[in-house]
Amino acid sequence: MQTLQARGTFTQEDSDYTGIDRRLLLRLLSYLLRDPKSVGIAVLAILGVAGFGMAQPAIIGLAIDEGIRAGDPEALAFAGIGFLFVTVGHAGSTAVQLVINASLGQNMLFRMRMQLFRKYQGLSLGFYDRQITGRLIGRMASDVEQVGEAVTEGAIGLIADVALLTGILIAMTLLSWQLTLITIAISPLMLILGMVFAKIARTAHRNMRAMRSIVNGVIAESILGMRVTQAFARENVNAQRFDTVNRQQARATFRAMSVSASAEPAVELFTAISTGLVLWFGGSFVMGETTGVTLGIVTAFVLYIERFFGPIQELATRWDTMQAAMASSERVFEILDTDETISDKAEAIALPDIAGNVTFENVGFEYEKGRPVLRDVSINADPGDRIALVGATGAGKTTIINLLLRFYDATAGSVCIDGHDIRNVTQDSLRRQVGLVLQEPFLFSGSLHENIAYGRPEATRDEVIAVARSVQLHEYIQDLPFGYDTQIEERGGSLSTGQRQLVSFARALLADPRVLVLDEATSSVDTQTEGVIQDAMEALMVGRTSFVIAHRLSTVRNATEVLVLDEGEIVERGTHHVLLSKKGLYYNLYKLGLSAGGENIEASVARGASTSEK
Amino acid sequence: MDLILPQVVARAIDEGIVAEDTEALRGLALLAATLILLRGVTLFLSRLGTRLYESKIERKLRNQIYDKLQALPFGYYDRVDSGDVITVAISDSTTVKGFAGSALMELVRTAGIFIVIVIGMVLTSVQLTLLSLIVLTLMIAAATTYSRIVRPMWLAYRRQQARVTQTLTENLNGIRVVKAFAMENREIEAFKLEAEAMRQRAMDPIRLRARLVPLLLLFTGVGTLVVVWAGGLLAIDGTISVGVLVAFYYYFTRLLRPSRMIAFLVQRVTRAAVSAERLFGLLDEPVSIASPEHTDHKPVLKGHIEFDDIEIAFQNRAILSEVTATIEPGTVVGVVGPTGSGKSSLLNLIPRYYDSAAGEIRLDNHPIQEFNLQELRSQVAIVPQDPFLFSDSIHNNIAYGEPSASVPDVVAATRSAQAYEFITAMPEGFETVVGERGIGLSGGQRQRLTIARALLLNSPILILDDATSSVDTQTERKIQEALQKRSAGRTTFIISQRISSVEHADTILVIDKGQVIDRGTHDELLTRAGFYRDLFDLQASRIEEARTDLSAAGPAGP
Repeated sequence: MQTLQARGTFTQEDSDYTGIDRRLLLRLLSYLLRDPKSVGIAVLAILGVAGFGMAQPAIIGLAIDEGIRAGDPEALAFAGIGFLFVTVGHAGSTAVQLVINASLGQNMLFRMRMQLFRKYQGLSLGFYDRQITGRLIGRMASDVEQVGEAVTEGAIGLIADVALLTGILIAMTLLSWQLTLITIAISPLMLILGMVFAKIARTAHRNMRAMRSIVNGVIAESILGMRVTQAFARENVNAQRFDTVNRQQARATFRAMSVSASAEPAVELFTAISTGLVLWFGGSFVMGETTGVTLGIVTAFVLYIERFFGPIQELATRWDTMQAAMASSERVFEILDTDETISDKAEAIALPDIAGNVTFENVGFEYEKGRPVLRDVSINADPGDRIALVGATGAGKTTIINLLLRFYDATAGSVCIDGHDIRNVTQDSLRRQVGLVLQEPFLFSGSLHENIAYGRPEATRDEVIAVARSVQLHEYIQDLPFGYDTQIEERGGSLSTGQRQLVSFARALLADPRVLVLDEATSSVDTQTEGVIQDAMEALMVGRTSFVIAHRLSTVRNATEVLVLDEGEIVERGTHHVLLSKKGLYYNLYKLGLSAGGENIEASVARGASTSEK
Repeated sequence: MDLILPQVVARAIDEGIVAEDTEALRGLALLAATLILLRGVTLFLSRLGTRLYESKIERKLRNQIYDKLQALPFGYYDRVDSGDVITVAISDSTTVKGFAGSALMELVRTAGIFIVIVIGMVLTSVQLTLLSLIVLTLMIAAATTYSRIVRPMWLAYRRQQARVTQTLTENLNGIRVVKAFAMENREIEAFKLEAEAMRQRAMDPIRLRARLVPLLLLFTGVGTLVVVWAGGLLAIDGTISVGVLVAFYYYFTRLLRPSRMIAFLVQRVTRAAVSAERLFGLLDEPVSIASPEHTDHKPVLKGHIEFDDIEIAFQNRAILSEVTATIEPGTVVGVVGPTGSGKSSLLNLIPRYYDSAAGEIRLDNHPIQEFNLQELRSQVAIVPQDPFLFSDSIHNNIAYGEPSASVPDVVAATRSAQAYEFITAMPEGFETVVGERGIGLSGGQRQRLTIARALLLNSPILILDDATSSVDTQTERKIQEALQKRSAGRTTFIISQRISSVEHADTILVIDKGQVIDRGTHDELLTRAGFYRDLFDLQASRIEEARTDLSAAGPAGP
C-alpha cells in the first residue's frame, strides 16, 4: 500500500496532448457554473481589479499635469483622494478575487473527488480485475489536482489577464491613441515569443519530469529492494547505474530551468524597450504640443507598460497549463463515464430474512463475448449445506462465488436465494445476508474492534468479544497492551498471517450472514495455528449455507457436496467418498497429490496438481 | 542597473522633456535602452549560473544519499518506514538544493537590490526616502508575519492531502471487503469527511493571503500616495524637480517586489532548514555493520560454520540465546521450529545482515567480522522469505547477483529452480518485465525466480528461508533433486514448516524460543518425543487419512 504511494509511479503518465478539446473544456467549465453566484462575484471582482488597477496610473498622470506642473496644490489633493479611493477599491476587489477564485476551484475539486470516489464504490469488480490500483489512485491524487490547477490558474487566470489587458488598452487609448500604438507595436512579437517559449518550456519540462520520475523510481525501488541488493553484494553496480540516471536528470533539470530563467529577463527587456520608445516619442509629442500629450500622460504610460508585458507573456503559459490538464481531465472523465456498475433495479426489493437456500440454474458467464468462463452450472444448496469447490486455477471457482455475491451478473441462467433472483433485490440487502471471507484477509487501519465490527459498526464490545472468543482470538487480543483498541498498522506486523485470518473470520461471524462464502488460504502457517484456524472455520460454518473454495482436506471430507470444476463446467459432483469411488478426475487429482509425498494434498487437489501454475 | 535607470529616466524628463532639449532626450533614451539590454543579459546569465550550480549540488547530494542508503544495515530498514526514507531521499533533497541554489542566491540578490535602491533613493531625496521606508517596513513586517502563520497551514494541508490519498488507497485495496459487507455508503461518508477537510485546509492559507495581499496593495497605494503627494508639494515649491519626483516614484515601485520577495524567501529558507535537518539525519545515521579496515586474506570459503554461544535481543526480549552449533562443509541443514522461534534471525547472522549481541560466528575458523562485507555476502546466497523482484526483465532479475552471467548459465539456474517452463511459456520469455511495474506472477513463480537468482551464484553457502512455501510439493521435490546435483560440497540451510522439505537433510536443527532444543537426522529426531515428532505426526496423520480414503475407494481405476 505504502509502496504505491511512495513510489509516485502514478505521476508517470504524461501525454502529448495538443490543442484544447472544446467538449472537454465545456464539461470542465460546467463544474464552475454550478456555483452561479460565485461565478458572478468572480466576474465582478475581475472587472474591479482590472478597472481600479488601470485607473491608478491615470490618476498619477493627472496629479503631475493638473497638480504639480500647474502648481495647483488643491488639484493635487483632489488627485490624492481619488487615488486613495481607487487603491482601496483595488485592494478590496483583489481580496474578493483571491477568495472567490480559490473557493470556486476548491469546490470544483471537492465535487470531482466525491464523484470519483462514488464512482469507485459503484464500479463492479470486473473493472477492478483489469485496473492497477496505483493508477486509480493517480486519477484522484494527481489528475484531479492538475485539472483544478488548469481551471484556476489556466482558465480563470486567462480571463483575468485578458480583462486586465483590455482595461489597460482602453485606458491608454483614451489618454493617447498615438502612444498606445507605439506601446503595443512590439507586443505581437512578445506574444509570438511567449508562444515559442511556452512550447520549448513544455518539452523541456516534460523531459525533466520524465527523468525525475525515473530517478525517483530508481531510488524508491532501491530502498524497497535494499535487502536483496546487500545480500547479493550489488552495491557498486547499482551506484554506477544510479550515477548515470542521476547525471541525465541533472542535465534535463538544468535545461528546463534555463528556459524558465529566460522568461523574466525577456519580459523586462520588452518593458524597457517599450518604455524607451514611449519616452522618446512621448517626449517629442510633449515638446511638439500638437498631440495633446502631456508629461503626466507620458508618466502614466510608463506605469502602464510596467503592468502590460507580464500578463502577455503569461497568456501563453496559461494556455499551456490548460492544454496539459486536458489529458488529465480526459482520464478523470474516462472513469466517470465508465459504465460498468452493477446497479439495483428501480423496482428492486430488499431481500427479506432468508433461510439460506441457494440455487444456480443453468448459469453461464463470460467476461468477454464468446469466451465463456462458466457454462451451464446448476447447484442446489439447502440451508446448512456445505458446498466445496475444487478444480485447477481458472476452472471457474472464483467466478461462482463472484456471481453468488453479485459482484458480476450471470450472462445466462439465474442465481436465486430462497427463490428470489438476486438481480431483483438490492445489493445492500443481499450482501448483508451473504458473508465473504477472503483468502488474503484485508484489515483496515483502525482498531481491532473496528476491524471485527466492520460489517456491523454498531456492535457492542461484548458482541465483539463473543465472536473473538469463538475463533480463539480473544485471549491473544486481551494480552495486547491496548486490547481491542490496538491499532492495526500497515507494517510492523502486530498480527501474524494466521491471526489476520482469524480476525476476518470474527468479522464474518459478527455480521452473522445466513450464506457464507469462504476462500480458503493456501499460505503456510505453523501447525498449531493451522489447528486453531480449522476449529474457527468449523465454528463459522455451523448453521449456515456455505460455499468454500477448498484447499484443506477436512473441508472436502466434511462437505455435503463437492463440485469438481474443469474449464468452467461442473464435471463431477458428490460427497468426498462417493467421488473417490467414481475414480474420475477428483480421484486422480487426489492421488497425484498424495504420490508427490507431501502433506499438502489438499492444495494439490484444489489446484489440479501439476497443472497448477502455468 | 536598478540604481541608474530611474536616474536616466529622471534626467530624460528634466533635461529632455521639461527643458525641451530633443538631443538630450534622444541620447538619454538610447542610454536607457543600452542599460536595459545589459541588465537583461546579466540577469539571464546570473540565473543560468545559479541553475547550473543548483543541479550540480542536487546531483552530488543524491549520489551521497544513495551511497549512504546502500551502506545502512538491515536493522535500519527494519526500524524505519520505507515510505519515509523514500520521501527524505526524493523530496527533501530537492528542497535542500532549491535552498542552496536559487533561494540563497535570490536572497543575496534581493538584499543587494534593496540596498542599492535605498542608496539611490537617499541620493535623490532624503525626506521622501524616510517617508517611504516607513511604508516599506510595514510591508516587510506584514509579509514576514504572514509567512510565519501560513507555514503550519500549508503543512496541515499537505497532511490532509496525504490522508485523502491514504483513505482512497485503503478503500481500493479492500474494495472486495467493502462490497462484500455492503459498506459503500459508510466509506463514501468517511471519504467525504476527509475531502471536506481537505477543501477547508486548502482555503485556510488562501483566506490568510486574501488578507495579506490587499494589505500590501494598500501599503503600496498609500506609499505611492505619500510619495506623489508629498513629493508633488515639494515639486510645486520647486524644492525638487519633476524628474526627481518621477525617478523617486520609479525607485519606490522597484522596491515593492523585493519587499514582498523577502518574506517569501524567508519562508523558503525555513522550509529548507526542516528538510536539511531530516536529510542530514539520514546522512549521519551510523553504519553499524561495515567491513574491517584491512582484510589480509581474500578467501574462497569452504563452508565450515561455527556458532559459538550466540545471543540476540530486541527491545529487551531475547530472540536467540546460547546458540552453539558447528556445521561441516557440504552439509544440508534443515531448520524447523514454530513461527517466531528465531530460525531466520540465526541464519541472517551468517551474511552479517545483523550482528549478534554476544558470541561469535566463525567461517572456516575466522570470525566473520574479519571478512570484507561484500566478499562475504557474495559467497552466501540467500532465498529470502519475501520473494522481492525488481521491475526489470526476468533475465536481469536472475542475474542480479552476477550481471555478467551468460545466458546458458541463467537458463541452467532456472531449470534447476523449475522455473524454465513457465518463463518460456510467456510471450516474451526471459525478457518479460516483472516486479511492481511488470506482469503479475503467482507466489510460487516468484519464489522459483528468487531460487534461480540464488543458484546462479554457485556460492559455497546457500540459505533457503521458507523458500518453497508456495510451491507445490511435487515441484519442491524436483527442486531439491536439482539442488543435490548442483551442490556437491555446498553448505545448505533449509528453513521450513514442512517435514517434506527437511526430511532428507544431513542434520536438522530444531529451534524453539530462541534456542536449539534438538538436533539430529530425521530418523533420530523421530525416536524422541518433542516438537519435531509432533509436527511429523500431525502431517503424517493427514497423509494417512488421505491414504485411507483412497484405499477405501478400492483399487486404482482407469
